[in-house]
Amino acid sequence: MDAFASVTELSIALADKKISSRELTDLYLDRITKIDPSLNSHLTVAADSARVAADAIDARRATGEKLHALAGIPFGVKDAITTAGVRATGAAKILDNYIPTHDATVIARLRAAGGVMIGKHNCDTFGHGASNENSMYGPANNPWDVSRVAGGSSGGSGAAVAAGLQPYAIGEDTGGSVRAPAAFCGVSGLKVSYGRNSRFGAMPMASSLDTVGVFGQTVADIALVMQTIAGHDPLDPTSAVAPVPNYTHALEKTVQGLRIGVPAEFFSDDLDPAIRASVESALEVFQNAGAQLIPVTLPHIQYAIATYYILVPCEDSSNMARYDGIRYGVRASRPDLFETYAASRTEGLPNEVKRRIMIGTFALSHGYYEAYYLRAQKARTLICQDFANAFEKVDVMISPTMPEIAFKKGEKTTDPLKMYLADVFTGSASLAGLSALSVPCGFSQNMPIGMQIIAPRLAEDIALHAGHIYQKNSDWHTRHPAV
Amino acid sequence: MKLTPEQVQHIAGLARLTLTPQEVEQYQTELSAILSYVDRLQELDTENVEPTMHITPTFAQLRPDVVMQCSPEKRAALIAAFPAQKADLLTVPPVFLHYKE
Repeated sequence: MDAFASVTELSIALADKKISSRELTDLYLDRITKIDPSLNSHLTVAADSARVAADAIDARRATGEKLHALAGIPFGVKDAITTAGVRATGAAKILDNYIPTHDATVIARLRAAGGVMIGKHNCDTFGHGASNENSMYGPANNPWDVSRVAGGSSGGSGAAVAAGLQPYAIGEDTGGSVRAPAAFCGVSGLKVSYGRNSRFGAMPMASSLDTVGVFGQTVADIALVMQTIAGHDPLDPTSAVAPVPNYTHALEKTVQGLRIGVPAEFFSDDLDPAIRASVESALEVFQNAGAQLIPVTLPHIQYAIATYYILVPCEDSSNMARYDGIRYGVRASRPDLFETYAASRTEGLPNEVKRRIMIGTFALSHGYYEAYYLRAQKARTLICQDFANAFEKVDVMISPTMPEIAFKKGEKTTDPLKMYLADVFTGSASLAGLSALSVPCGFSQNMPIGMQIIAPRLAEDIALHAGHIYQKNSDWHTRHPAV
Repeated sequence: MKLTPEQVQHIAGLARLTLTPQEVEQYQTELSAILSYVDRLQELDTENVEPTMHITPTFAQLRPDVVMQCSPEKRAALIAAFPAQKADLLTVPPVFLHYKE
């Protein structure tokens, strides 16, 4: 079986008994053993529990039971999402020994469908980063060039799917954490709109922006996985009480009449020429397929990064307060309580987390709240209005996913602000809680380029439809790194 | 906005972090650069703009407040995850170290 086979192909092969789930699981586990030492995309490999789950599915299939399309198919999960009985560190030393007692809701839904969880993916600690270099377990490397970053924060997930270590993966995206690694590693990645997928069990960073998303070889695969995990969850009060569309049916709608917005601000003069050329050719592909291109404008988008890097650290600093070494995780014992808190946090959290905690603590402190947090929330309103105005004229908007190809490791680590600016295209859609999909659309210096397709809130079906049209008319998503 | 070393120390204390003198200097530079960058929001006219506290039109669909069962296995696993314990109890450092009766 081809390690890069789509979920649909694997599902058919399993149903036709061309391969068993156990064989498929062993195939991916073997690839992890062989390939992952050069990628560092996994923090934990759950080989034993995966084999048990695979055997159980094979036994059920042998009885003639009709199984779910995802039954018996292995998948991986970002380590900042909990998995009952399997270590979840969030790539932080303070949770080095943490074994969750519960599955995140999306994981519970996949397991109920018969999905086989085989590994936990490296990431920037608790989602803090755009390159995976803020992991306390070392960076995940890009399978196209291991001297380059995989993107972040869900870098291990992007690298693992790109290298064929799993057919799909569950990641988390607050300001680009699924889309950036998808673009840098050359796979498809969906950031769902806020509230579409349950956040229960996802270690929180910025609670008003965090989302749980999907990486796949194809948009069609993502649609299948979304059908299984999307929808309201009583355990997440912010999950949307809204019907879940049939995503697979949505893929096959006609392209005629699809209105694609091209925001002027996302194609400014200083855009990297190779990235501009790739995304512009992709726009032509849409046009030739029958879609209509419409110029739109998002006048407040220049304030998106500043808004994002106030709101996120503020929410972040209160979320990170839970990591105190008291109830779970690693405690640095000291005679005094304050010292215990401080030592546990100082030893167990990386610099980027500390930076954001301090920015948030400062911005929320007495005398600064109005100038920072409140003002950023007002700027957020203006950014949301820009998108709402544009979506009156178009169905989706297209931009590059990232302003550059995967950069060399170490290139931006000395300048945190430079790293923040990498979120320029992804952060704004996050602030507005929109759906956004990244799909491969070309190469520059043998490194993949990603295109972002933004759709309204809870309109993942439209983003997936547009992404699928593109993949029917292009072959970038069929190229794989030589690993 | 440029932070002083004293401000950095104060913020770190509030956030329960301990910094070395070198770190104070490093964070002073980095945090000041980030704060200077986000200062561009001061240009925006936000006079009559409502803040967006959360993105969903209906916030917080609360579930009924009923006790859910916890299996003995899950209870044992939760206790096993304590960083320090005595029997089934979580042990913590004294809150009032110098308290005397």
